[in-house]
Amino acid sequence: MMPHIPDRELLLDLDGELQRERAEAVHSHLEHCEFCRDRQTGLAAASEDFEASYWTLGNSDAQRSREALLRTLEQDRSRTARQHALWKVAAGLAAVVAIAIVWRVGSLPSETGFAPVASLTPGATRPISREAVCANESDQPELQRVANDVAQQVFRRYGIKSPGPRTYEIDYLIPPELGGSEDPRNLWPQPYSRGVWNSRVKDALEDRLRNLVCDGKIDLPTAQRELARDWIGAYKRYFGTDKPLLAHIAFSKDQPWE
Amino acid sequence: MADIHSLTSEVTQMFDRWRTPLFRYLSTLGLIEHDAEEIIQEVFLALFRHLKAGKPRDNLRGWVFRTAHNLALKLLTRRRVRVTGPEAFELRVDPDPNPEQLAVARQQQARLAAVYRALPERERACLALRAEGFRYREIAEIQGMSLGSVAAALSRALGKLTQVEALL
Repeated sequence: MMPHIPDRELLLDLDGELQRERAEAVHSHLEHCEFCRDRQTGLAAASEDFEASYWTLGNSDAQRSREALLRTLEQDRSRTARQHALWKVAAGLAAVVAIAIVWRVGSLPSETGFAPVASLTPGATRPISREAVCANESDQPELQRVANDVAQQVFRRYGIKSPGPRTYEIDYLIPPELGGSEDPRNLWPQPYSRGVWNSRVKDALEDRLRNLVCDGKIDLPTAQRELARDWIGAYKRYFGTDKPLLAHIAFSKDQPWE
Repeated sequence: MADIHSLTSEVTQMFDRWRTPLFRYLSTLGLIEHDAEEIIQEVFLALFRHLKAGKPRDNLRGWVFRTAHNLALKLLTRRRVRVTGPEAFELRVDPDPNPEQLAVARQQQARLAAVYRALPERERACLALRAEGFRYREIAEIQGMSLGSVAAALSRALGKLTQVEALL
């Protein structure tokens, strides 16, 4: 003898939501089992009772609410129209700015002149798992800025005597997010916005490499090597371009060194 | 602009049909009138934009309730409001009862109201949506739960209501 049908199945049966095979089994059981039949009837009656005496909330001012909606829709229409007009102006301006940037990028030297010196900054890593690299950003420990004395040490190594404020980012050759350590051998002074191959462009490459590691397309040591050996060459290969993309020139992630 | 005007009119008609049920449902989730009203405005503005963008039109009533449900949960989480259920729980009684019937009905109403308010939020919401005429499958979609969980929540809720009715 089939065990009794649980309440939830009796309800699903009333709503015609049981799979055909199961529904047939349940109906066959109900034919012979008065206990289950009574329970199903009881559940249906309770549901109907509740629905019949469904409480009468909804007594707030429906008319006022309707008027508020009409005002909201009208405001939305006007705002959308204004936005369209603004977008047209903005698109025109953006075209002018883009042409100016393309002209400027084209006229800049394509060599860096500010690449890390391999003997001073060969890159240094710390042990880190792929899971830690790919943890959500909110799960990752907040990055500390490079300590001032370490930064001064790096400037001295590179022969920079008095760095101006907000001109350099003490950059990690291999970023901490990809297992780089805070060792002077992994740090170098990178102009924040001077030149074509600046720190903003490198930040974009770092993000791309991290995504590739986390998508399982390359392994972590490969990403670290790409950055340590020749990050500009790596950028060109991964983004399929000889020059930094316009979006990356304006890309900003880290705070500049002050 | 003709399209926008006919869309406004269409959304307003849906508003007329679904606003009161939606208000009742939001009240079952424990929202006060002001918050429920705010969410209703937000939902119908979202519906207007949804339709203006040419997005799917199937089961818009379910879409409206699901959007309201999600907005309500977000609001409740943000404000860390403890859900206590609607205060103004009121059952319909016969339109013209005699004094004895009225007294019994009021007593029954008070007991059922107490039980209803004490139900977990999910069970209250399932009962309310069912009373609004949604099928179990639609309730599951609105609340983001499985069909089996809807049936289980409803069977528990109905069980508790039945016990109270049996005592009356």
